Amino acid sequence: MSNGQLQLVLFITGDGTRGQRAVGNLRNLCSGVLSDRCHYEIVDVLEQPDRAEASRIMATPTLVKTSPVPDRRVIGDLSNADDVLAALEIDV
Amino acid sequence: MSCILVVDHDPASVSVTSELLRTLGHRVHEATHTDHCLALVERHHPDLVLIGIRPGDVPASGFIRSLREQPQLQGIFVVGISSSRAEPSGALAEPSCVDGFITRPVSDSEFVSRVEGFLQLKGAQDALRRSESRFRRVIERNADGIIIVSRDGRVRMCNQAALWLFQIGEDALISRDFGLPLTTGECTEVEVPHGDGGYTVMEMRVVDIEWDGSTAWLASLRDVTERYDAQKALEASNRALRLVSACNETVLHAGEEQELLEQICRTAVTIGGYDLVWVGLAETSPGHPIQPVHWAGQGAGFIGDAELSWDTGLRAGLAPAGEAIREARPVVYEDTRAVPLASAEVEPAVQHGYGRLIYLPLCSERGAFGVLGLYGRDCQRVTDEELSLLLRLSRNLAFGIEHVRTESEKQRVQETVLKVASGVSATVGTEFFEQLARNMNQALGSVISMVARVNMGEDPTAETLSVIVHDELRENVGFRLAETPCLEAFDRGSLVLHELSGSEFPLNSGDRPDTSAGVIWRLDNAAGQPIGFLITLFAWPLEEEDFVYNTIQIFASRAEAEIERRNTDVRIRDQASLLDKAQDAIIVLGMDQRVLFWNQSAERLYGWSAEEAFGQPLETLVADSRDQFSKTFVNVLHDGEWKGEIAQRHRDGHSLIVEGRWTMVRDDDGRPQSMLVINTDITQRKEQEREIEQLAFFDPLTRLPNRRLLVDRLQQALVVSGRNGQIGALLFLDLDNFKILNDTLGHDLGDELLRQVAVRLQYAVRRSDTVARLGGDEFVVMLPEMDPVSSYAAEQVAIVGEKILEVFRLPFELSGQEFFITPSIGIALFGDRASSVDQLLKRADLAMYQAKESGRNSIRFFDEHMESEVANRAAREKELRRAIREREFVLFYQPQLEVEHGVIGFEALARWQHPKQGIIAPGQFIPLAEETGLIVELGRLVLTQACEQLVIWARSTDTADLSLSVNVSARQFRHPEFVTDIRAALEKTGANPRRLRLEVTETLLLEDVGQVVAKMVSLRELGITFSLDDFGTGYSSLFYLKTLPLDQLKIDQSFVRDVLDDPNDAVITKTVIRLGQSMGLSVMAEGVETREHLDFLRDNGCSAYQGFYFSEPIPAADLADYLGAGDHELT
Repeated sequence: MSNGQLQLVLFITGDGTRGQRAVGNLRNLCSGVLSDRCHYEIVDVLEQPDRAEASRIMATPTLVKTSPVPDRRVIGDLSNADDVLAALEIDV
Repeated sequence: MSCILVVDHDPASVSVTSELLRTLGHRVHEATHTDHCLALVERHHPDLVLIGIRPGDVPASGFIRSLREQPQLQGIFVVGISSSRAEPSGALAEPSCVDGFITRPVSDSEFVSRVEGFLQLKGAQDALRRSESRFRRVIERNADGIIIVSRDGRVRMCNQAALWLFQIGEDALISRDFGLPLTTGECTEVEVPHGDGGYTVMEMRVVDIEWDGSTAWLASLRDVTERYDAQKALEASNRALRLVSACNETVLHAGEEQELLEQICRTAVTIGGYDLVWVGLAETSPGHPIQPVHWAGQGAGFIGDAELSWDTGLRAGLAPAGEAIREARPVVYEDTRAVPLASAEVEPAVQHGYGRLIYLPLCSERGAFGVLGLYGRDCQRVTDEELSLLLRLSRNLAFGIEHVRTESEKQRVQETVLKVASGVSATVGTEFFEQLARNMNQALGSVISMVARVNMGEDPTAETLSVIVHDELRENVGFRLAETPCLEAFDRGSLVLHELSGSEFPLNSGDRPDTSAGVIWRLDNAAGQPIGFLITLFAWPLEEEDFVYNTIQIFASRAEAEIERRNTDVRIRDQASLLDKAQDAIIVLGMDQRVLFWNQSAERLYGWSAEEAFGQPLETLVADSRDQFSKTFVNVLHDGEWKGEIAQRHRDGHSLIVEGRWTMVRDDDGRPQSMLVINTDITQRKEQEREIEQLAFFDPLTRLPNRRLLVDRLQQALVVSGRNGQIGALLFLDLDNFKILNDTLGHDLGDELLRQVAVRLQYAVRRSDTVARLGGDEFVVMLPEMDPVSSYAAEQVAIVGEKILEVFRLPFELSGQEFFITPSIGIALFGDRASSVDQLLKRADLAMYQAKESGRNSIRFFDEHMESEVANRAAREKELRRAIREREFVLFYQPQLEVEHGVIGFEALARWQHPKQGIIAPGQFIPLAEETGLIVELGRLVLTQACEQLVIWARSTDTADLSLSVNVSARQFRHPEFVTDIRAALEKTGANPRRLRLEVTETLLLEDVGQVVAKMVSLRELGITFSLDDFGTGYSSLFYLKTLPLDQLKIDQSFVRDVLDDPNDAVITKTVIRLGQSMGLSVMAEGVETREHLDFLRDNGCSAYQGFYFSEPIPAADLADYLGAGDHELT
């Protein structure tokens, strides 16, 4: 099990169903297998375009793991939790 | 077999190696020095170059470097053979330099196996390179954006479309962190933000591929924003449509207002997909509150507490709900986040985060009485379709509410009437209470007994119904309860009075016996409410108190029943008189169907007075159809009641439609006693409904469905075909030349023709097909449910199309004359993929235009090129407009010569000097200018320039006599401002009109010749001359030739070109020349290209010429040179 707090940022566009699905899946993930281990933030690129620009977000929904290094990001609605964890290189 | 080049300074080494390789079957070329090696490589393209290398081998490394610099020689394998164990050094040591080394000494077999190894590797690399370039080509040509993402999430490659999608340069995209697409094998939707607040919705498909030796993802992205929006809009409309029909069901079956509202709200949430739906009623109490009465949806509870109003004077009244009620119109906010409401702080929906708000007024004839609110969390466009469906819903709901309200009102009246009809005894007089009081005195031994009724109120009073003193009936009296012990009894139910002063109860007249005790008993009705008192007073102290109590109870129950009955009777009598004021005809029939009761409304409705109606069988008074009447009567006997519409007649014979509610009334033993008939006159409403339906959905002229109904049905057909995969078709039909016919025959006959066309069209199609008229002479036929295979469907549709053309083959008879008219038909199929109503109509329309252009009376199927052609044409038109604005047109001048005078003038010819495409010939833009009407503007430009040229010529005596011919198109000539335009150009430039010649064509003669002649005459008065261009190609009517004030005929170049080869053309040319001469017109031949043409024309008397033989059209700048060259005499 890796130490330290996980930092996740989910970028979505507006409050459409795609983005909301990703938000829901992320919440489940963080309150489920990752409970107490992660801090997550949701950024709407329409409201904070500069954040998206700074993170060089190409498409949404994108979930970025900012800590611990290395940075990892995935694209999609995060419906398969196992895939997400594997892709972000998070041990459970 | 491979091709190998062996290079070595040592000839022996070369030949040994070559021999060895040849024995293996390879083709081998040899070289002993590197000077011509490159040429050898270029000629033979060897698969492998084996080169002997010595330490510090400068020539070898120079050759290899130059070989590597040739891009077309990429992929040639170079293997160094070093003859020492020393490592290669210098340039040769660079890894890119050679592909491998073989170090001698080495056995033959090992050498051979190494070489074969290199050849295999080379073969594999070639294959890879080939497949890679194929792969790249496929990707590059793909319209979808494609990116290749390596396992670390970085972009490794992309195509042009991807750059465009991400709006980014290739350098910025490559190796950018895209992220790991987690959806291998399936399709997902993602958004690509633009940074300016907008975004594109993309469909992303990800597959695993091999890339550069490891696995990677290939993600293809397709822009589906438009599809997504369209889909959402369509979904919303479909949902709204389903919602309307589900709600209609509810409205039809609703029995109670509460139930109706509850169901509608629930349905709008579950089927309509709205997140919150509520209904509020507008109240007229102070502050004009909007009372939310029902709501549905998650978290909708706050609506119940919302303070809403429709009073403009109040802040809460500014909210959209109030606006919808006040103005009785829908109020829509598609996105409250984008466009904040002015009244946001008083709108609870905004505070609760709803983004999309729709408020629909609920209206009766007297105005809006409530509002239907539909909220969505997401912002989304409200399409016209959705809104119109929702309006339908709110209208139906309002109707439903009104309907159930009147229904319950009617039920109340009905109950009352039933009581009247069931003959409740109303004949009980005062005798009952008189007798009761007497009996009380006798039974109890009291001296005074009275029965009193209570009138409730702030200060309750009582009035007696009977007063007996000893045996004597006294006059009734009234008193306030507070004045007597009754007030106490009123509270306690009964009261025993042991001490009486004797004056507690007032008596109106006569003497008053002494009383010392008494009992007061309160009378209650069945519901326990006080209705009166029994009072009995004794001359002596009360002894047998229990007996008195028990006995008085018996009297009390009798008295209670009677008072209650009397109260009811009074009410019934009151209500019976109300019946006369009712709007409905109320009739009571005996079981013999004869009239027992007939109210004033019945008098009004049927024209029979109550006196006339009494005792008559109802059937003879009002029945329109005997059968229907007896059937109804039997129904009531059987079911106890009947409800429905029935046709009846007024006394004067005019027909009525009534909505009847007939109820059987039974006596106490359950036997049928009488029948209550309540009839509402709905004749007018029915007529209005029919009329409204006709107006709304049918074309008044042809009685065919109109555009609205067509769109409605088409929408349904689209939904159905989308579901079951059946293909449908839309035929757009327009009558050829209808406008001309309509104008010449008059509009009455035009209308009659349209009516006949409507009849024939209906004849040509199935009953399930829809024939609609969109307006004018445009008809649409919708054929749903054709074959699911599109090619078969197309065949079926084509057959229907042919059938339609067929029914037009017979003449139409209009006011005794026969007319032939043909249609042009455009067809668009639907069902194979999502299409919208608008799009389909447009497509069928477009196909119809193609049919028209291809020569009328024909059928065309829509294909996708049509759309692009329209777009193309629009682009070209735009370009042409721009060119006119920018004045990109220049004139070229082709000389005109005469036998005796040489150059006499020029014809001005317009050229488009396009900034990018250079000079464009008139054939490429004049037809478009004609079609679009831009020719008028273009013609003005040309005329002005021509006049300016005339002014230039006028300055020099050498050129002052030159004339200039300018082409005028028919459309330009017909323009009402044409003469004014020419005058203006002449005046502005100061050109001499006598030098200006206008060339017109025979197409001018297609319209009002009188007007054409008038215009020509007025221009000739200025000195302008006219030439008839292209003579011989059109009508060439001698009559017109004589009518028009012409100066010149021009023989068309098509005749002149073949004048020597085609005898017909020669004859025509000769005829035109003679014709011109006989009419005193000069004749000019166009298209004179050879000396032989000239000779023929001159021999036959033609005196003026124009053509390439003399000169092609020349730009204005070269005119001076041409004229200066002199010697244009014809010899």
